Amino acid sequence: METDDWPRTLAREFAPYEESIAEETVRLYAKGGRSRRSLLRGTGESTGGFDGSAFSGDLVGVLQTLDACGQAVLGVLGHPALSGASTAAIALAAWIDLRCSKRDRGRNDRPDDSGSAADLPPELLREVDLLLQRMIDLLADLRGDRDEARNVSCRLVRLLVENARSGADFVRGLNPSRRGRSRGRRGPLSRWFRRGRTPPRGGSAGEETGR
Amino acid sequence: MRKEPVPPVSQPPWLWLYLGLAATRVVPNAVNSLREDWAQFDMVGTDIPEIAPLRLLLVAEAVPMVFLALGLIGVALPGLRRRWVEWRVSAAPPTGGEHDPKHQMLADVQRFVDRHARGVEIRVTAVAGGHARIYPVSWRRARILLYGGFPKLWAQQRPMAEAVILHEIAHRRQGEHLIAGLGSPFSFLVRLWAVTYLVLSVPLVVVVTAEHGWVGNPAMAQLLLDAAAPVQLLIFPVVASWMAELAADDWAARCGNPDAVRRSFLPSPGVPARRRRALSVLDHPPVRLRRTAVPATGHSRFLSLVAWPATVVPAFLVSVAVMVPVTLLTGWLASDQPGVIAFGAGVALDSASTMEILALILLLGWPLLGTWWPRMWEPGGATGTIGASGGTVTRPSAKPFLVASTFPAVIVLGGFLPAPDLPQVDQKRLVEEAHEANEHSLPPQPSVPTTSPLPSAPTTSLPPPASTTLPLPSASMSPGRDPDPDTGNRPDAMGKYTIYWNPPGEETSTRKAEIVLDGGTGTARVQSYSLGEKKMVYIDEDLSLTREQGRWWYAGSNPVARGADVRALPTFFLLGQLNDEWTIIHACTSLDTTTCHLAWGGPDGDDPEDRDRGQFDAAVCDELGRQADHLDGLALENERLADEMLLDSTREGLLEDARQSRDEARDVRQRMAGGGCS
Repeated sequence: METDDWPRTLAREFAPYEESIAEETVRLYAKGGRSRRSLLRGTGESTGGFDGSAFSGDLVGVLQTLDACGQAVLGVLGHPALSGASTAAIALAAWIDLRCSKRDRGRNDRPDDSGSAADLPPELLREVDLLLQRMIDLLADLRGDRDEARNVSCRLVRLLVENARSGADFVRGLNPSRRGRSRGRRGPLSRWFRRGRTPPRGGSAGEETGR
Repeated sequence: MRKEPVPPVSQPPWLWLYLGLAATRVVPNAVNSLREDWAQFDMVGTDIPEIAPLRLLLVAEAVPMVFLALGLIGVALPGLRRRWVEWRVSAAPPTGGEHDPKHQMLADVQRFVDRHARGVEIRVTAVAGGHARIYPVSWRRARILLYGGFPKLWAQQRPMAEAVILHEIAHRRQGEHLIAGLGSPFSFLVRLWAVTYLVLSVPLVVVVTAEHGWVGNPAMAQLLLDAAAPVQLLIFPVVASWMAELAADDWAARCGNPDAVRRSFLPSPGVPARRRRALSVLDHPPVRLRRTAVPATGHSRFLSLVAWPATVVPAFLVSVAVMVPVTLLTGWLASDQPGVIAFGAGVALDSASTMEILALILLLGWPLLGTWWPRMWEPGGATGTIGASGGTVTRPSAKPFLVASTFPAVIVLGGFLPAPDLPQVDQKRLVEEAHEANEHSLPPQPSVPTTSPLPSAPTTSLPPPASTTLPLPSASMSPGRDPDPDTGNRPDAMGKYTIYWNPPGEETSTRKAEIVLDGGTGTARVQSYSLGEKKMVYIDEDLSLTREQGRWWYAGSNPVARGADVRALPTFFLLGQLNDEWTIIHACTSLDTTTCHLAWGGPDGDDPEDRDRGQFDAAVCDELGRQADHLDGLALENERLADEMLLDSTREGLLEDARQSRDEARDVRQRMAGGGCS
C-alpha cells in the first residue's frame, strides 16, 4: 500500500461513510494549526441548527489517536525485525490478532506467551502491547466505548504492521513537527539531550502534539 | 418523481419584513439621529469629561447601523458569499458518479434534496460543524454544505439527518438563506455587534457612574438612553431569526419525522459535549425552546405567529426601563411615572404602526402568499411549479392567521388613540428645591443670580423619539405631527439660538446675535450684541436644533449642576420667548469680550419678571457705566494720537473721532441718569 492510499483505507476500515472526505480530512489534519482545529471545532461560524455543537467525523478521531501515539507507532514500525522479512510482519499481525481475541485478559498479563511470536523479539512485542493499550485508552476516551476502542485499535495496529513502510510515512506526515525532523536531521545537542532522558515507554510514549 | 403535497412554511418570512424595514427606515433614521447627536457634541466642545464616553457610546450605537448596512449588501451579493464560504471550509462537490459506490451516500443525499427542492446542490467538507447548512449561490440557487459529522449522521441516524436537510430546505423556501444561513454577513455582524457593544458600553457606564454618581447626573440619563437604544434596535432582527428557525423546525417536522427533529436537539451521545457558543443565541433560539416547539400545538402555533409582531412589547418594556430612571434623574417625580409610561406607550404605539400594518398584511395574506412565496427562490421562478418534485402545495388553514392577526390589529388601532400627554413637572417645587439646595450647599455668590441646581424650565418633554421609542421607523412615523410640542423650543436644548432685538430707537428687529448655548461648560459665545436698553429678545422659532429631542436635558441641567462653573455675571439679560412664555436667560457680557458665561435658571422669587427687573437695571447701569468709560478712554486715546500726528488732515480726523466718542459717552451718561442709575 502506498502512503497516498492511507486516507481512503483508514476511512474504509474505520469510518466507511467518510470515504468521500477522507483525503480532505487527512490534508487538513496534517496541515496543523487552524486547519486541524477546524476539523474538531469548526471554523468559528455559528454552527447553526440543532444542538449547537460542532460535529466532526470519526476519521478525525482515528487520526488524532494515531498522531498522539505517533512516537510509539514509529518505534514499532521502525524496529529492525520488521524492516526485512515480511514473515515477521505476518507473524506479528497474527500475534496481534491473538492478543486482541483474548478480550478477558488482564491488561498486565505477559503478552509473549503465544507460540506464533516465538521468533519475534520480546521487546518488540512489549512495545506493541504498550502501543495497543495506549491506543485503546485514547480511543475509549474519545468515543466512550471501550470494546469498540479495542476493536479499532487492534485493527489499526495490525494495518500499520502489515504496511510498515507506508504506515510510518503516513504517521510521520500527520504531524508537521514530526515531518520536519525525520531521521538524522536532529543536531548532536538534541540527540545528546534525548539520550539523557528516559526512553519513551508505555503511557509516556506518545507525543502530545496533536492534542 | 413522486408527487406529494408540500406544506407551506407556517410563518411569514419576518426576516424579509425586517430587512425591508431596516433598509428603508431603521438605518436611514438611525444614521440621521446619530449624525445630529454627534454634531451636538461637537458644539459642546471637547473639554467636558462626559463627552468623550458619550461619543464612544455613539460609536457603539453606530456599529449596528454599519452592520445592518453591510448585511444588506451581503444579501445583494450571494455569489461573493458563496466564494467566501467554500474557500473557508474548502468545500468540494461530491466527486465520482453514481456508479462509484464510495459516493453512493452523497448521491443519496442529493436525491433526497432534489425531492424537496429544486436548484439546491450539496457540497461536502471535512470541517466540523452543525451537520449541514444552506448558503446561497445566486438569487435562486443554493447549496447545502455537509459538515464533517454529517456522513456519520446520515449513515447511522438517517431520520435525524433528513430532518437537518429539511430544516435547511425550509429556510430556502422562505428565502431566508439569503439573509441568514451560512456565512451570512447579517448574522455574523449581529453577533459581532453584541461583543463590540458590550466592550464599548459597559466600561463607559462603569466609569461615568464611578466618577459622577448616579443621582442627579444628567450624563447618566444620557448614557442610559444611549445604552438602551441598540438593545431596542437589535431585538427585532434577533426575534425574526428565532422565528425563522422555529418555523423551519416546524416545516421539517411536518415534512419528515417530528421525533427525529426533536431528538436532534438532544445532546448527541458519543459526541463530546462542546460548549455551545453563547453568542449563537442571537441567531438561533435556545435548544430547549426549539425542542418544546416541535411538534407545534395549537397554542404554540398561535404564539409563534404572534411572536414577531409582539416584539414591540419587550422593546417597549426596555424603553420603560430606561424612561423611568431618566425622567427621575431630570425632574419628574415618582408619582409622575404612570403618566410618563402612558406617554411612552402612546409614542410606542404610534411608532410601531408601520411595522404592525405590514405584519398584519403578511399574516392575513400568508395563507395565499405562502404558496407563491417559495417560487421566488427557485429556478424557473414564479411561473414554474413548486418543488422539484412538482409537488402541490397544500394551502394552510387561514384560521390561526386570522386569530394571530388580532394582535397587530390591536396595536395599529391603538396608534389611532389620542396619545396621552406627558405629565407636567411642578416648576414651583423645582424652584423650592433649588432654594433649599442653594442654602445648604452652595456658597453665597454675590452679584450672581442664584441659579437653580435643576433645569429652570424643565417644563416638559420626554427623552423619547430616536432612542427610547421603538427602533423602527418610529419617530418619523408620525409625519406632519410634531412629536412633542413641548420639546419644540426648549431653552435648555443645547444648540445655537438666533436672537433678535430692537436696538435703541428702532422699531424692528434688525440686529442679530448668535448665542451658542452649550451646556457642558456653561460658556456661551455672544458674537454680536448691543447694550444699553432693555430689549425684547426672542428666540427664533424656526431653529431645527431646538426641535432636537433626546439631549434636551443636557444644556439646561448640566451647567447648573456644575454651579461653580457658571458663575454668570448678569450684566446682560436675554429674554427668550419659549412655549409662548417669556423666559429669562441670564447672561453676562462686556464690551471687549465676545465670550460670556451663560446660564439660565429659576429666578428667586415668585414673579421672575419683577424680581429680575431690579437686577436687570443694576446690571444695565453697570454696563452702561463701563461703556461710557470705554468711550472716554477711546476719546483720550485719539486725542493723544492726534498730538503726535504731523498731517493736519489726519490730526483733525482723529480729533473728530475723539469728539464723537465724548459725545457718545455723554449720551450714555445721560441715559444712565434718565434710567435712574446712580
